[in-house]
Amino acid sequence: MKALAASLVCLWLAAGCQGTVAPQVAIGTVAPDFLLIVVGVLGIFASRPGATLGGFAAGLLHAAVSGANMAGYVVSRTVAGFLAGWYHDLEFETGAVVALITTAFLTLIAGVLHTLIAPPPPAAFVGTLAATIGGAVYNGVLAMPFYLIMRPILRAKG
Amino acid sequence: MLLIALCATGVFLARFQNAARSDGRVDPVTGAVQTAVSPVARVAGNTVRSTGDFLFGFTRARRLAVENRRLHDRLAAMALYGESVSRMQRDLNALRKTMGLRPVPGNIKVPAEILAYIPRDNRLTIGAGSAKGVRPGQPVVSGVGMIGTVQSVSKDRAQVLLLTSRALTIGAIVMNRNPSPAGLLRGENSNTLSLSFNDPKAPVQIGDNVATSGLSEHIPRGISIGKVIQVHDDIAFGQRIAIVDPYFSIGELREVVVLR
Repeated sequence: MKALAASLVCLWLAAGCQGTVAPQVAIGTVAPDFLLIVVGVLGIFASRPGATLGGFAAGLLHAAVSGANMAGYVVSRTVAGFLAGWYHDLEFETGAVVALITTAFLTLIAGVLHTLIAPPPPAAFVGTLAATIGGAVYNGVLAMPFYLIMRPILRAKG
Repeated sequence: MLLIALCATGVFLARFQNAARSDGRVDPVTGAVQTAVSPVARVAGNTVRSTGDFLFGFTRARRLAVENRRLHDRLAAMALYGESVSRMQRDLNALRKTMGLRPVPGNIKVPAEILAYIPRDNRLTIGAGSAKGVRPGQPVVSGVGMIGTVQSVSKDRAQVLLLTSRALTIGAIVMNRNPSPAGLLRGENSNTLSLSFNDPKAPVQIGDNVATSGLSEHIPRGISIGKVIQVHDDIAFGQRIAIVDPYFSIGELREVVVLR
């Protein structure tokens, strides 16, 4: 119950920050994706169905906040959540570095899926790809402190 | 199974969203989410901006004080100029009315705060909606010129599609020429726009200023858009294409004005 409440609050705060804070803290064209960070870190602690639902919620929130087409965001984030939940079943030792790698990997997967579902114009393709790779690094770095904050709350294995 | 069901729900919601958007509305799911997260968005946005402003002011206080004095003087001059433009606009509309023509659009200005910017989708969410008379298709401008048009509207919010979006096409003219060649302008990528002329000999050169053509129900003529940075000919389609660098920079904007 505590974990569910914490997840909902994190998703709500991340959605609120996504449209206003992310562009302000962007480095060039690379902006963080707070919702994907939440999915990546919570996915480490959650069951597979829970993480999949979290991914779905993150996609829905992101699309609604940005006013973008829902299909691209919802499908890519749901798959990202599903993959994050898979990690939980593998029973690895968790840690901040694991959070970095997981979140960066999920960002790449979500970015590629989103590009396939809602392809950018050809002229912007390289820019989108670069922003996805940069975003993966940015999200991964931000996932580490977020993991350390969430670990006591969610009582991780590691 | 859950994964497939959730993905299918996403596709269904997207169809629902598109149907609402084609009517110029915001679908209930999007509206509900935006209402739910808006308190966080406002607080977070204000906190980040205030912190940035504080740090900027802390290091450049002297320069800001001088600039502030200059801006006050310019504001006073602009107020006088704006009054005389408004008077001329009223006279023009009165004359158009006597000739049986509709008034020039964009006389009423609705200021709005930028609530969210999503670069990937070339889209803004602004804090003014149908309650203030904002309607789909109305132009959105900043101090330097046009930035986009309203795409969908809820009671107190609107989605703005930026000029850099490929989904938006508007009429534009080259201001430096007489007569001004007219073409269709659309987003090329997140930094540039493409203005295509059906006349392959359209007189356009690098450095020319581009503005709205006014050949629209909502967008008035002469709103600045950007500067031509490249010209090339599309022989296959018999078109001349000018690449335009828009004047606006979203990162510098906090408020915009909707012309209705």
